[in-house]
Amino acid sequence: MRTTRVLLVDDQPLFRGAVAALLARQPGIEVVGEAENGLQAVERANELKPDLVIMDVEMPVLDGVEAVRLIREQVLDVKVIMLTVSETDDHVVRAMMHGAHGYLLKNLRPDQLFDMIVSVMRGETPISPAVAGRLLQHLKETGGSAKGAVVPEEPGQKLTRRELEILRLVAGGRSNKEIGKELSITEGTVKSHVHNALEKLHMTNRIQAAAYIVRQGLGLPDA
Amino acid sequence: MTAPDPAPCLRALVVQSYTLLGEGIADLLRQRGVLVEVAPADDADAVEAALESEPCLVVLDRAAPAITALVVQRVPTAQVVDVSCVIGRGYPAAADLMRFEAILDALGVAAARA
Repeated sequence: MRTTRVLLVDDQPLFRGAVAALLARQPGIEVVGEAENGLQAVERANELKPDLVIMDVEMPVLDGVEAVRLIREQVLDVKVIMLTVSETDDHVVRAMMHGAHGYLLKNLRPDQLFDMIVSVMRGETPISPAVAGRLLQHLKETGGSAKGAVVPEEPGQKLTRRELEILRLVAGGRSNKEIGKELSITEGTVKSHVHNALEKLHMTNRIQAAAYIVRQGLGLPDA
Repeated sequence: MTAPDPAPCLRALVVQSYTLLGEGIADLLRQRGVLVEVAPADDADAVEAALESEPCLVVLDRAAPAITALVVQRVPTAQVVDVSCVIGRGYPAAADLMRFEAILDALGVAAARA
């Protein structure tokens, strides 16, 4: 298995040290650098080209939400997971709209964090259950518009009927597994439809896709 | 006394509010040969049970005043480090940042007293 090179970003040295210690025990994960604010994170991400950035939200100088936007603009092939105590709707929504690949709360167990890292490197979008509900609620209330959203208005290529059908279910908050069950196809097939649809829409995560579906009036999430 | 302790006072209790932080601190202490128990800050019974083993160092993170009082009553000689004064608040002055060294210092004091 290829080693996942991680950049750890948090303004609290004790938290960075604690998480670094836990990750160091994990085969397949290597912490290659640390940063203590968003600006330093952007610099270090450019310099180290990590596979994954684990990013706090509230930090001095530049917050994690803005740092995600800059890293996603400047660095190719990097995944970013938010790891924070902040459940603020605005933070969650903006981070995901800026292209974060996951949003996790610090009350995770270490083994859950490891699973989430594996999952994000596989191309999934892990989100702590406590914030996933808020995100969908926000999408329903606002029709998917958010400050600073970088979701394109028009897809580059037209979605197939199947892709659209699956994205509607994604917007409804269903997991790949649930969608597979509902449509009697395998989870892997669902995943590849979602992947293809995201490519066409130039999007990086399911949340952006859900916002797009809602905003374009292509189907309202009923979750 | 049934079994001898592994070293002069090398028992710690981490009372955690954020699992990742608590488990990480516990891991760092275990790497230094300390026996560590971890209890959730919102579970007074678990904290009380863990205090039975008489830790010489207690690390608190956002514990309720009642939990802090319990710790101080049950293990009056233990060193207590509260890391919650800065964790998660967002914009502390650099001088206020809690570092692992502070916990090690407290452990050193506790070990010297034992």
